[in-house]
Amino acid sequence: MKKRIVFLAAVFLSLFLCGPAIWAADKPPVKIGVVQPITGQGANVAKSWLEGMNLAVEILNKEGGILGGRKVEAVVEDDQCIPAQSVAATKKLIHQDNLKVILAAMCSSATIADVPITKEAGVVHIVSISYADSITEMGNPLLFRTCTTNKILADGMASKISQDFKIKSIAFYSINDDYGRGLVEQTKKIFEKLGSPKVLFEGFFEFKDRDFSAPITKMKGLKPEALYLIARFPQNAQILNQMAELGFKAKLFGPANLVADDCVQAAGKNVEGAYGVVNWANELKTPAAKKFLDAFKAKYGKLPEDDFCCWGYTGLMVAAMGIDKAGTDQDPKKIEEALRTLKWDAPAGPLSFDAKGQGTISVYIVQIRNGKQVLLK
Amino acid sequence: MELFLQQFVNGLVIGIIYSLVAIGLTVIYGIFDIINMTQGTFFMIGAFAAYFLTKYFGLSYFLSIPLAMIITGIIGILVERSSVRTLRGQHAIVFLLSTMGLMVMLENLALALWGATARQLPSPFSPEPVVILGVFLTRQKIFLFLCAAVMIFLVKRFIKASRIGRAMRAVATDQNTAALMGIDVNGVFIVSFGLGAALSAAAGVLLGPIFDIEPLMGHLTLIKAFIVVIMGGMGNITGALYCGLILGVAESMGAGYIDVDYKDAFGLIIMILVLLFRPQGLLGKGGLR
Repeated sequence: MKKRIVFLAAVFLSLFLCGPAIWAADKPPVKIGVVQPITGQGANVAKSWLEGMNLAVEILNKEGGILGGRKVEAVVEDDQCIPAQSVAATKKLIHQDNLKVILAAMCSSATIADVPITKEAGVVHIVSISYADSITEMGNPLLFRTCTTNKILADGMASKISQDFKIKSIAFYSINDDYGRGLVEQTKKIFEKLGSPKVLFEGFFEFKDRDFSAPITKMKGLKPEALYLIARFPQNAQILNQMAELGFKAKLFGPANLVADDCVQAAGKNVEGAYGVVNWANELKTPAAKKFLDAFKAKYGKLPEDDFCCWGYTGLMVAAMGIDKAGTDQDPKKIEEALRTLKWDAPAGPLSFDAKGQGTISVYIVQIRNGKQVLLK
Repeated sequence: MELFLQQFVNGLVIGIIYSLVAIGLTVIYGIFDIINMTQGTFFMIGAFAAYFLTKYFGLSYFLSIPLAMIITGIIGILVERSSVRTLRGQHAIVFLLSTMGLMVMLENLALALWGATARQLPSPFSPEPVVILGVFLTRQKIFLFLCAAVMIFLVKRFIKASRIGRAMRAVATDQNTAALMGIDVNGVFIVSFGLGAALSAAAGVLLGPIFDIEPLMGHLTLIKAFIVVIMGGMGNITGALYCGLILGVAESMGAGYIDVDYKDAFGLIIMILVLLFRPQGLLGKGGLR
């Protein structure tokens, strides 16, 4: 008799413990669409972004899922950073997989191509890692951006270059796409307003370019005090290394790509001392930042290597919270209303959305010292 | 002045690579009037062969150059067997289409196997620059230039003085007469495709450590090689050598002194001018000279 009671108690106890998991397994997962350049230009950034996103999925599912215990699942498509591929991938997620919430894409030019598609289909479009300012101006009411913009980055750094670092002359060298051109434009505007520094050179390269010797030699002749470099990996490291080979030295400024770990690894001492305007730093101390950092370390056994994993985490979390708060993963309108009033302590800082769907984003300046990012101020 | 010299030297380094790829293209065109679109693909295959040989078989970079040339040469011969020989006697456009189809197929195969992410072929030399008369160079660039120059010299000697070279020139002059004289035309086909592929592969391996390698790296190179062949005269090896260097220097100077953003346009402008005013090429057409 006693044995039987112990046995029954054990059965009840185990049922109680596994309960949520069993219920969750019975229900269909909540699927969220993801378009990222898994291969090609931006693949390294996407790898980092996916680490953050997968971490968010794991945390959500460990905490019992959303919509009353349903698991979260990301359906990932590759767009190779090519607008036409991105449109095809987005259409597949909308029409074949029948998803109502899409996180697309990375390269701004690809995201800009996706916006009309999501707008026409009337699905919720979360932009979690494209910086072109025009994206939130395209009039898609169901679009929310959980990451920074070129304007935010320019505002965060341009005045510092001019007034704190007292740079007198600068050269711009950038990737020729919506992200690069946008950031150059926004930064230049602020320089013009402040009256310094003088822009001595403005050059753009294509993502297929591998030989930067001619523009680097030209910049060397113009002798700018600083270089504002906007390039993704591996081009940023190639440019920095070719600069060293050609003997061109300047103070380096740039967005997160410049100070990301992949670039620092590949460029070594050639990126030492570079300043980056970023939206995430491993030294942030807020509870939300600490939660993200600890979970990241526990899952991957390393520290976040750039901003991009934080964007992946933030983007998926916002999508899941929107669905959970709306109480449905099928009605984009309800999800939109839920996101409109969302207030969340994201790892990088408090996040809420304005009327155009742009999230509030904090900006930090870091410097590479001895191959490590150091948070300034 | 130093900057002028620097731009000039930058142009020469990239220019000799254009020459090397263009010579492979012009040899095949000079002999058979065939435009081989896979020339840029060979450039990519050579670079990847060296990458895998050094990474997974632990071979030295220097040893990987001849091996990559042999492997790519064999692939070149297979290309000849599969999509050129079977079509012999057809119009030139047929070969253009068949090799273009093969190019698309091989490149997409490479994309599927290896992904579009750029990889780095490690250089055996130190990355520290060497400064000569104020011009910054790396040892890899010096090695590239010397190695390419030696290869071009050897190819020219081979075509001029060797028995096979004479047979190639005979076939280039008149295929039917050469065949009647007992020259093995099939053999000439095989040698010229193998040679063209190997030269392109060498260019890929030499340039690999300076720029990264990826499956679509051959596109730009193919376009540049076309410009060089048209500039130098179709089938003219000496023309390809000089015009490769001229194109490299023109691009470098154009980017340095006119506008950086239009670097690739300068080559195309030169090509259009040559086609308008000297369509036979700067050094005259054909006959494997």
